[in-house]
Amino acid sequence: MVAIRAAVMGADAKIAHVPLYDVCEDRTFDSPIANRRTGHRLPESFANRIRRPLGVNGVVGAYMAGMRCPTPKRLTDLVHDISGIEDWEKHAVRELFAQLSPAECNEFMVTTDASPREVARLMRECGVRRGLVVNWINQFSSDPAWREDKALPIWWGDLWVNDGGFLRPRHR
Amino acid sequence: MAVTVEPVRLRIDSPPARAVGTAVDILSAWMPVEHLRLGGGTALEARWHHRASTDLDFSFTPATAPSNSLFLKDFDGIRSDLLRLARDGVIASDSVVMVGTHHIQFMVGEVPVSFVGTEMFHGDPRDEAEYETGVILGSSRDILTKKMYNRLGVNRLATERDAYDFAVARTLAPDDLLYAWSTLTDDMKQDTLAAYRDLAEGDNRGLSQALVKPKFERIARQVWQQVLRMMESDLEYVPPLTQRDGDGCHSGGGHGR
Repeated sequence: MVAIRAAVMGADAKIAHVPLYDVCEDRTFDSPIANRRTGHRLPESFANRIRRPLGVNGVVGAYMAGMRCPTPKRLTDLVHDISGIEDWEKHAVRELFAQLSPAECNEFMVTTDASPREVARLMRECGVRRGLVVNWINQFSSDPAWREDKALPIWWGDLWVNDGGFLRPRHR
Repeated sequence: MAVTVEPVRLRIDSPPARAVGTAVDILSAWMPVEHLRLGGGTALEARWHHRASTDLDFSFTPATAPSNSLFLKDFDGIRSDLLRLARDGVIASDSVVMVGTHHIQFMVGEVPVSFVGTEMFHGDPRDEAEYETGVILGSSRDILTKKMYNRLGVNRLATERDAYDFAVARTLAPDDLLYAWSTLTDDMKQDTLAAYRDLAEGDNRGLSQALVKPKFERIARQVWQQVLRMMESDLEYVPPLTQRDGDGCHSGGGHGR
């Protein structure tokens, strides 16, 4: 949280906001790894798959419960072709990425067989600006302006679950 | 002489209602049903009918007993069950997550089911149960506290769904909401206010596009502004559930405690 102190009429007012970040520009996702689809990274065996974070089916079901959201199939289509996306769908994508951990973002990309560049486009077009997930996608960017001095404090804020009395990072 | 009172049975709405029997059948092979609690938004919906919920959140607590004594099967046994259920099409094969025996997720049809261990319940009166299966419903206090502490306090996740639940709870379960709010540290409260303030003043201002079938549309339409105002006032402000609630009030509707 960023706190800005301002002297207002002699009083010390504290105005707090959550810092927001931008997904790097499309042209900076220019490396081979940023342009390669990732579906092949999904393991085939059931025993290995159940040890991974929630994919597109899981996150839509679990985190958008009670909220209007495109189907996993529609989200998969939108990742590859964003033309025709509606405003309510953009809103739902923002709500979804407002809840994902970086590991779940990665699994979203893998289970939609998307490339980092395609996920970046979806996030950018939908107005996703949450630090934790923007930092995840920007690791695939070649933008020299996105450096570790921005990235490290964001990583520090990973997501946690209470596991029988012990806090542990979600999905690890 | 102690009198045993049967819990009141409450119906949950569809679509979770269609899957609750199957889900409990699956879970009861791993743990006696009396240890299960059905919580989350579905339990709140069963009580308040305030919005549509679409998933099933089951939890249990080891409490004072060693956790393994609750389980009827070990890790490998549960994993084998999941594999068989996926192979038989009872659960969706691409929806299963198993992080040990204390954190399992799967889908029955279109309904996500989670089964997680938790350190403790913030109140467990056991006076209400799901209609079809008899599974005890988690208390509103426990559900609100976990939404407030785990999601907002620890992880800084501000969702429309939780904000709406908090705003409604101010009228329907004020003591439970107050308890939940009191579990946040001052820093957590400041972070929460910052997050809600940004959402109330940002592009989403005045819009609620994600909630499914909110009963209290007045709150849903201004969910960020309402919940921000409520929390900025340290829960003094009461978001109006209906137009009538707000009619007799000054400065934007709502009323104090």
